[in-house]
Amino acid sequence: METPPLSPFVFVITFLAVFGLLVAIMPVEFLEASEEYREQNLPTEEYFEAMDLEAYAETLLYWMNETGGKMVQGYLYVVKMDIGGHDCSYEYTKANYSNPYIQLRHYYAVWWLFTDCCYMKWTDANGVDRTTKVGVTNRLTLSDLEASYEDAQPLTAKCKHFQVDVFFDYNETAYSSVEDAWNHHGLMFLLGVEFDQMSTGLNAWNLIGMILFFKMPSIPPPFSYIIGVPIWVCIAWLAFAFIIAVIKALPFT
Amino acid sequence: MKSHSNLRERIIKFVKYYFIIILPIVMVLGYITSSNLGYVFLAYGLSVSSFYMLMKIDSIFLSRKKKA
Repeated sequence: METPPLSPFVFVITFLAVFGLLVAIMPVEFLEASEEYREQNLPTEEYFEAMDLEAYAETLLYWMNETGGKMVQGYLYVVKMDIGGHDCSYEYTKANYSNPYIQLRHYYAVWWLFTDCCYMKWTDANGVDRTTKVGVTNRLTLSDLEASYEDAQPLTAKCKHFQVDVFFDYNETAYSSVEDAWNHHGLMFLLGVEFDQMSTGLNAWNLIGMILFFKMPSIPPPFSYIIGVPIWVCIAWLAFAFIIAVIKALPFT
Repeated sequence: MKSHSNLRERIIKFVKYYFIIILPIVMVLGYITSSNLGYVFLAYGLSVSSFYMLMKIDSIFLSRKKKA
């Protein structure tokens, strides 16, 4: 009986050994979170309790003002943000708009190449659904925000991928109501994502994808080009060899 | 077929020397630009192992030599 070839076994063992070694020396930041905590020079302590900030893995504070985003359709401001590794945007109508609302949109990858989005649903601190569904969008209208507004009580915005707590607040000395603060660009909101909702953990396949698309964290793109080019060469060769193998396998060639 | 085989050998030879040459380059450039050298080595190692894995797949399943 012929001895089976050893090369596949040697290959598998070598590959697993190298792979395991690389995973073992992977910096702990990759396993937990690659996003550094962002500090913003905004006076959060004036409006939000320190407890609100410390209970979350990452927080972002935004003011609803006319410089905060890019206007689309003439009335809606769109602000792109990244919270806890989730690619999101918050969108709000301009001041004194007839039908004011806020919506949070979460963008996610489909098949690693395409981007889809979903609109997050809103729930208040008492568990009451405050979502107004218009078409495919889920909106938090100003009236719902006023009805659910309680000091230091967050609303929860959630989709099927993750959820985030949202605190709204305004200077109660300067503004008489939520609507007043909204219309004078004085409303602010604090987004807080909890530790178990973070999406910053990476695995080795993600890292290979990042090398391929020159997006390795903490490495300047030119290094990524230098390091990633051999894999592209290899993929090109594989595609070529595969096509040649298929052509040769055809019966009429 | 022979030309394809030659091309494959040349690619492997080129990439082998390429990997050897770029290692000190990325180390020096990473140091100069204060990049995290751990990440640089990780990316380099993953690139080498990915190339090795893909070319092994090629040699086992696509470009294997037929037995006489």
